[in-house]
Amino acid sequence: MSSCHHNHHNMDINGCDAKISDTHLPKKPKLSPTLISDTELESEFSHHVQNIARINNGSFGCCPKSVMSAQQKWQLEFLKQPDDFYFNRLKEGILQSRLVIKDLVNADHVDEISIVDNATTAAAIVLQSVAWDFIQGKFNKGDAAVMLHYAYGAVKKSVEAYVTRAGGYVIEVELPFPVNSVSEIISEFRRALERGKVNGRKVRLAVIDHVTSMPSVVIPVKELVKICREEGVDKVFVDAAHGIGCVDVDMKEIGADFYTSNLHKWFFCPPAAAFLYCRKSSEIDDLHHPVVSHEYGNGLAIESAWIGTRDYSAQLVVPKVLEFVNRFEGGIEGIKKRNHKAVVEMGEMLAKAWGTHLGSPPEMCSSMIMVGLPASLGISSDSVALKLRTHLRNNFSVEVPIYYRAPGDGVVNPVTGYARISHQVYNKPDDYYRFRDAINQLVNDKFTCELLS
Amino acid sequence: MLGGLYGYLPPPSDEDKPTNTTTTVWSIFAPPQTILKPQSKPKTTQNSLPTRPHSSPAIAPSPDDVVALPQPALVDVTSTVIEEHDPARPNDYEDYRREKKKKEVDVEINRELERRRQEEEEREMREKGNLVSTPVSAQRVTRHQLPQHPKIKIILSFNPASPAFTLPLHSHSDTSAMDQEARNGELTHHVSKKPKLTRCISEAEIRDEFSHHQHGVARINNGSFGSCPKSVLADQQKWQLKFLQQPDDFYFNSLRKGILESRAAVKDLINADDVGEISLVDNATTAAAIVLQQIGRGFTEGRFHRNDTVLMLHCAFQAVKKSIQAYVTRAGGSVVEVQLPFPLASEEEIINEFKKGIEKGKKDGKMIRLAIIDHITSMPCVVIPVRKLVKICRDEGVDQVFVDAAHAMGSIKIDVKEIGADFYVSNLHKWFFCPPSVAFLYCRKSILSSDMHHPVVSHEFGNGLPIESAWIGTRDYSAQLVIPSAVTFVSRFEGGIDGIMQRNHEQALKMARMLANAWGTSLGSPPEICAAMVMVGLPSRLRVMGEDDALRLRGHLRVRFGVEVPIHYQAPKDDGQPQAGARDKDGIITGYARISHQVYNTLEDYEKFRDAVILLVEEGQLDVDSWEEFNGIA
Repeated sequence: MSSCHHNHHNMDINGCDAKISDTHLPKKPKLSPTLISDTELESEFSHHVQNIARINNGSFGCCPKSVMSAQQKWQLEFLKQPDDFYFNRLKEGILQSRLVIKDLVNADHVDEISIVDNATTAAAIVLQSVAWDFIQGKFNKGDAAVMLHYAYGAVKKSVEAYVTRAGGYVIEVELPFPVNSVSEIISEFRRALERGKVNGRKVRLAVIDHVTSMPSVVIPVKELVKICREEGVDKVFVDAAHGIGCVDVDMKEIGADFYTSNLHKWFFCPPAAAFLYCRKSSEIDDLHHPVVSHEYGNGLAIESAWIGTRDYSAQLVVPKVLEFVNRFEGGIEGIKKRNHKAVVEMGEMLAKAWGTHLGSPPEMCSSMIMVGLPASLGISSDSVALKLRTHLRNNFSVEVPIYYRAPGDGVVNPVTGYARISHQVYNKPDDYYRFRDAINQLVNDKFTCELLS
Repeated sequence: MLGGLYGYLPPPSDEDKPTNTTTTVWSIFAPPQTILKPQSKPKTTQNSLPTRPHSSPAIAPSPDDVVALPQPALVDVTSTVIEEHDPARPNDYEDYRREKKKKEVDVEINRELERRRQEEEEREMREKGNLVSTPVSAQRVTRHQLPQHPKIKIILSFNPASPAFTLPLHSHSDTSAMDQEARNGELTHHVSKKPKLTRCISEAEIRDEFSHHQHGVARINNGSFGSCPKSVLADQQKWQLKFLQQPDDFYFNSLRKGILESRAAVKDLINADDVGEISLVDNATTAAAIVLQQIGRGFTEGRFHRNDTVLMLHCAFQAVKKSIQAYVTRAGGSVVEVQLPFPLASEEEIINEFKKGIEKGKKDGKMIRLAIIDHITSMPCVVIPVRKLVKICRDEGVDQVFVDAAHAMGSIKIDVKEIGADFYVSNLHKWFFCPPSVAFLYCRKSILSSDMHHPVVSHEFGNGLPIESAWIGTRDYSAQLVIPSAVTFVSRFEGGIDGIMQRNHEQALKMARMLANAWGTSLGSPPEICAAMVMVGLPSRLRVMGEDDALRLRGHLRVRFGVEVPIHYQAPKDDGQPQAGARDKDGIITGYARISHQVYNTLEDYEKFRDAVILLVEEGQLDVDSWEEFNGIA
């Protein structure tokens, strides 16, 4: 890609040059004079199993070939002469990646950016620090942590393992689904904070998803963080597993204390890399990576950059990923916008074809959208939903996650199943038509999920 | 309904299982959470194999017991999760063993067929009078060369006792020097007892397997980062690609099985009782965090008294010391460090110092809650008599014993039953040819097991450490999946991993002696307390006067001479003491090089190092200031 050389002069980040760090890359991406062609695009994802309608980018993301080969180069670099790599290459490489992220997310300082494996790891880091606050008496036993009912399962477990075990009281914010407006979420959230503060209890932590995973809804994080500040919540952690490349990620605008996003889901990194942003303040100096190495006490970013001998290559390719996304019109911002537009269009097409509805209004979805499935399929539990997902994979070559929603009382012929469809650069309308036709065929065949059990 | 959250990942096609996981509130989120069904297969699976010993669940109730776990303290939410607690997954393991057995039988049959075919050919040939006898040297002709010599058909048969299979670099000359006791018993190994290949890897093949190593560098520091051959790397890339090709399918249908297979391979290699005792993690540092977090909770939750102690060797790995600081000291525990002498004259010195440390730890009625014992210390490098120290711990009432054997697997015999520790960790990327990075953590079945958790908590939380560790969010698990491939690699060597260990030990020792002779110095410890790494004294005239000097010398050797070797600074003991450390003709030896030997090393690597040091000494004034500054671990 010789064309890439020209447009990356501003990404050639050598340290914290003021001129450079003023540039917020996502806002003004420098475009390549020649954008990626359709053929090149196909070739970048030609390792995907062919003839699969892969409309679930949300679960595991994707990684283009050019990034994969950059990763293999890093891996080889280590194996070639590990001592030299460790002493002379690794730290610098990770710093470069952190600098790219700092600019992408509009952080103040590169020290605020740590790179970890995934959002699950970031959650452990934040929740462990909260646990210490309970253990060491900074927080009282019974003080509350608030999180969304739709928080990611792993994060809920992590809250259980660290916060509940240390004496915290956990409150879940019930959210409606299907959801009609942002205000429904905001008022539920306010109610939960009030509940958290009864009997003089304090709300010490709020865990807020940026984009919930299942069902997938974009949460008005900026508003919720603001409410937390008004209500005196000590620490606000935004779990944006689906954040970067999928929604607007601006640290200063969002204003949370901690914000994590995977880079391998919507930012084309190989598995796995995520960043954890920790706003600079004296309080958060106490964050530590749970895997403790000799870097302990040197700040989370440095601790995270060496947690024993392992493969750091996924963390090192971030600059290469930036090159990749800048081959698209509008860079990552352009990709995001087009994905959103396309997924809404496809979601509406499917809902129309099946006579169902979307799970949220278009403005509350990102590059993923929930589409109601025909009631006649008889999706009656989570396990049935999973079986349908498997059935679609095995019999129709459609890769899409299915969500079960218990019907409300007295609803006639309720929609109990929703598909979470996604759109990423490699998707084509045919992927969605195949899914549409598969469901139509199942309906026509009088198929019900009971047949799967 | 939401069973999926909690975790198991059975192939969705197993339709025969009842769904027994329910909760009314928690929802399903992304993919990982899947799983709706319990693991247990119908009992008939096991009953159909009456002769196979039933592998009982390690930590948990039997798969048929259903345990109800109310969500702890998640108030305002009513939710009940009924799930199995079955970390050992005995049924999976039974499946695995059945498959493995089947594969072995297949291989056996094929081998037999091959043998008959060869006999047939041999007979034919003999009848034609073309082959009178097979010269010994010809046995090393590689199989792919055969078609080029169609007229000479050679019978390749594996005979570990045959000297013809010894690689020239690896002689047996020092075998007798090995102290089998110190090396934790005899060197026979479970896996390598039945090498599957009919011929050994050739020198050319070894060179090719490591041809990605930087040329022109004498890499005599396998200890810090290990090495990975091309064949294993290729397998790893296959796994990585497999994930990227169709991640959902990989997650649901390949990953768990692959990890189980790796765990089973480890189980056999270290003589564990049950695959439920084996977890795979990134590295020994991660394992230490797991063990120490559990100890830390003992303090914070009041099961241990403040100032109860954790005992460790003072030369424990720096990362482990920091981990103790982060989890134990912070939680109110105190730490006793056992000072070990260096250079060492005998393992008795270690044992005596350790006993002193235990006394100190138990002073004033304190309890020793954990002893951390290195199997092979990193710097200076010494093999510790772990079995004896563990026994002392048991006799003295130490609660838990954790053996940090970062360097062990592939460089020293491991038999976890014989060693008898509660926890034992070894990296597999250092001496067992895995790519970075993978380590196993063995946790002996006990009541502790259920409180061992991976610090990165996913939806598998509470399903036992092996299962928790096998899914800590989306990431690259390929290094954990290639263990069978590494097993295959080592089986291509004479005597398998045992043979490699033995030859590495002999060669490292031989090379160390060569260096010490050339420099007029001495070794840091007696031969029987070294594995594949040996400490060699550097000439005192090099004047290594501190840690910084040691690191600078290391950098200098890399940059100027292309020698990759870590240097240890040994502070001289109190002045005036007769045993004030080892001396050479010019003074006290304060610098030691830790040299290693691995299958890719050649004599020239060590000669290069020898000559570099001689040159530095000859140059006289060492221009320390011009050496590059280096930071990091030694």
